[in-house]
Amino acid sequence: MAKRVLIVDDAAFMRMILKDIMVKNGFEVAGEASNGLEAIEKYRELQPDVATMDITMPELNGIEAIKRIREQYPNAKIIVCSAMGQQAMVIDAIQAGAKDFIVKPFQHSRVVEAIHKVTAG
Amino acid sequence: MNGEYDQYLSTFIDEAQEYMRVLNDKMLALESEPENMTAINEIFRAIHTLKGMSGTMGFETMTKLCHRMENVFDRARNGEIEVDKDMMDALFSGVDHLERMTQSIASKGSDSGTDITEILAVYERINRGEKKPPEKKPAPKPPTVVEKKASKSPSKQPKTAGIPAETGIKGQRKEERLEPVKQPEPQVQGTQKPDYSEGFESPIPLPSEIQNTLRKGIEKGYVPYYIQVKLTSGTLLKGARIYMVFHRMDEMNSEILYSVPDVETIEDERFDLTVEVVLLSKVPQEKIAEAILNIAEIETVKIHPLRFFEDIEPESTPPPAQVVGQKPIESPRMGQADLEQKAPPVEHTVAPSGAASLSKTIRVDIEKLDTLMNLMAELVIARSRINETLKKYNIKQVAESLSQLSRITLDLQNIVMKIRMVPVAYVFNRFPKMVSELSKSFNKEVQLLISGQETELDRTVVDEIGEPLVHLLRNVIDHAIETKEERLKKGKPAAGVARLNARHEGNTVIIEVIDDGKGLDRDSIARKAIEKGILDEPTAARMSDEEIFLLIFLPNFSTKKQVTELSGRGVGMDVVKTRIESLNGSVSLESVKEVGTKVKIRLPLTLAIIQALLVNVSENVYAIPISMIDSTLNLPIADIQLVQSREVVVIRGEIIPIIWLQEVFGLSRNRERQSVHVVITRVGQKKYGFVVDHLLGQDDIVIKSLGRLFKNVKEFSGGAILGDGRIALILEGTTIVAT
Repeated sequence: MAKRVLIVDDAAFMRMILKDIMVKNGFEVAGEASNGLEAIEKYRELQPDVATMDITMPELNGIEAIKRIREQYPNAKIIVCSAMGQQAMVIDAIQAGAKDFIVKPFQHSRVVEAIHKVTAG
Repeated sequence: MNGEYDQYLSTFIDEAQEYMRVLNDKMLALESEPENMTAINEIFRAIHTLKGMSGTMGFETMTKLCHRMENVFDRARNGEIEVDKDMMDALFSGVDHLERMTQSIASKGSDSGTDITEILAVYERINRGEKKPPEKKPAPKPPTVVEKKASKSPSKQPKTAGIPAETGIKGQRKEERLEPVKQPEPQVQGTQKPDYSEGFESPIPLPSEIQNTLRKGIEKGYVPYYIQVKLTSGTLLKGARIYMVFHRMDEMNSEILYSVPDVETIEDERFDLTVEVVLLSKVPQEKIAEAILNIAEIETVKIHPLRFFEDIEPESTPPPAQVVGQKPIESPRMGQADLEQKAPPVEHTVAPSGAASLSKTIRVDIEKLDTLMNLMAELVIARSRINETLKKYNIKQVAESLSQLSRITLDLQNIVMKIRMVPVAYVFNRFPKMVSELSKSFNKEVQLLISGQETELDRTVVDEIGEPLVHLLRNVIDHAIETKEERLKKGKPAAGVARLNARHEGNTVIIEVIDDGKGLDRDSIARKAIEKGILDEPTAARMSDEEIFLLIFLPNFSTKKQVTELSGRGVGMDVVKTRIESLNGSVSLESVKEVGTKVKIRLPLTLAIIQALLVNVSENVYAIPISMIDSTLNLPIADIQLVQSREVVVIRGEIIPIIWLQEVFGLSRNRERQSVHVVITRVGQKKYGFVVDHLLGQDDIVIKSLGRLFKNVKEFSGGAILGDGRIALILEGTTIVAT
């Protein structure tokens, strides 16, 4: 069964890129969300195998969203999407319970690796 | 650029432009209100997203610039640097660069060719907290990467003094950082092995404090491991990646005692790919290796237990009694479970809630909207034809459904129009920045006041008016507004005022550019016209001021002696005029010497469908836009009075001039009737009564241009095909009133 992925990013462009990577590598995109609040809702609704989470988003940022999702789903597997230079935030996200992180600009192989590893572990 | 992303280019450009608009908006807000955290956060977010997007597309220059701008905002957000004029100027200029890059990407597919060295150096300086150097000096240093992020709130530090290794990574300030190696020496009594001087057989040399801690750990049942972690080459955010490794170890209740390089170096990413760690753990080594390998971008993990030189088997040492129920080295760090249960409220500086400034939109190719509009127009004509046919047969049932159809088409039409409407803010937004830059370069003080930027116009019109307005504003700053000294001498305030107003007026939108500068100089324009052979002296003397002023709209007419870079090449006002007229608009001008000039642009609201009253004048059908109409009435001829040899009628105390359309159209007036139909219309601020033969009724008409052949016909703004196939000319109130 294809792993089901929830993509969270406020930029439609980034979602499109990620979606493309997912589909090309045999993952199923279960849904998309464009801010933290929406992410929580969608996570509850879709219960994906893994979620990718952008950090800087309107309404509710990714780190806070990770915390809230993991309050309800302690086993939630969330991969943070970060940009270069966001080290401190990535570390916050990991402390909040993110399982791994990927760095923009995305490299296909690295995104795929992260998802495989997170869903395997 | 990455070939694989070519297909996303147009989405990228669209979205980038949207973010750039957000940037401009919010930066203006920030400029007027430097404490506005919401604005800073939104700017930060927009820049950040742009960075991610451009990085993905492989536009390196753009990514780099975004990155630096983000750094500046990040520091401003954390209150480390102050938002001042210097900073805002630098950032505006950064946005300019970004806009240019986006344009270059749109046209050439590449962001190269934009030189950002200078602007990067400015950011570098701002980031260092230095002020602008008084004299214009070349940038002091070539830009170097400022990767180090500003510190976050220290309250989030879960650490006290326990584990040295991963503590510092969080980005504390240096002075707060714990020395990675200084392990507080636990008080141990009754040590069985007083002599450890020979130490452990470790691939990395271990300081003696660490050796001691290791021994104590061993006594408490822990196994010391040496672990070497190698990252995949090309890994980004290596520091965070290693933090992830440390975090994973921590989750397994293992203690990192020592690392090479030290934490600070890891945090600053000053290492290649390999990090070596000495760890105390009770977890079997295979499990540790597996856990670490389950992190992305970890290439290899080498792990083996550390041994004493004296060949003491660590596993054999621990006295079991001491292990029960407690951890040997107390870790003050919260376990993952604690974290989940408590979920401590952590303040975040990113993304305040409710600040979403990007509305939910979809992007549609404007061509598709044009097609939709055309189809809509056809639908309107078809409906009118059914209506016409129906008048002959009078079938009640059909009439009912037709009226419903009419309502629906009307709604549909409104929606289609609204889809195409955008606020003029879309173009106005860039002017404050432009004006402030221009006035700087002309060394004048100019204040720009904008009103009515929410006025909506058809997208195609909005797209076209940008350039003429830029031209007008440049003229204002360059030609109209005087230098500070001149102004003071004339008793005017030092700062000149340029106003940009937009408002609806009936079926049109008025945009005015008003300045309080020196005004147009009648004599110098006339002289210039005579020099150029456009006029002879007697004609010039006879002409009114208005007529003289209109000369500046002629091609190649410029009175400014000195040609500047931006305006005054003599291709100014005529271009403005042509451009506006190509949009079915008109330009007029008022000026008073030493008081100022007002340029008034009148633009049609939309280029497509309007509601109109159809009237009959000498057997021909004409359309009067409903938006112009105040009322209609049947007026006894006797009520028409003569005031100063003009025909007027007094309605509710208001004196309204009467205009016989037959006469305007060169037809003879029908004087036999006792009463006439008058359509009271509003033209500008005034009312006029148009005398017509019959009122035919209201209908939706699709405006069609009269075409090139009739471009000199100013009395009609266009024509429309009626349901019965006849053509109705649409009245242009302004010109008719003027004749």
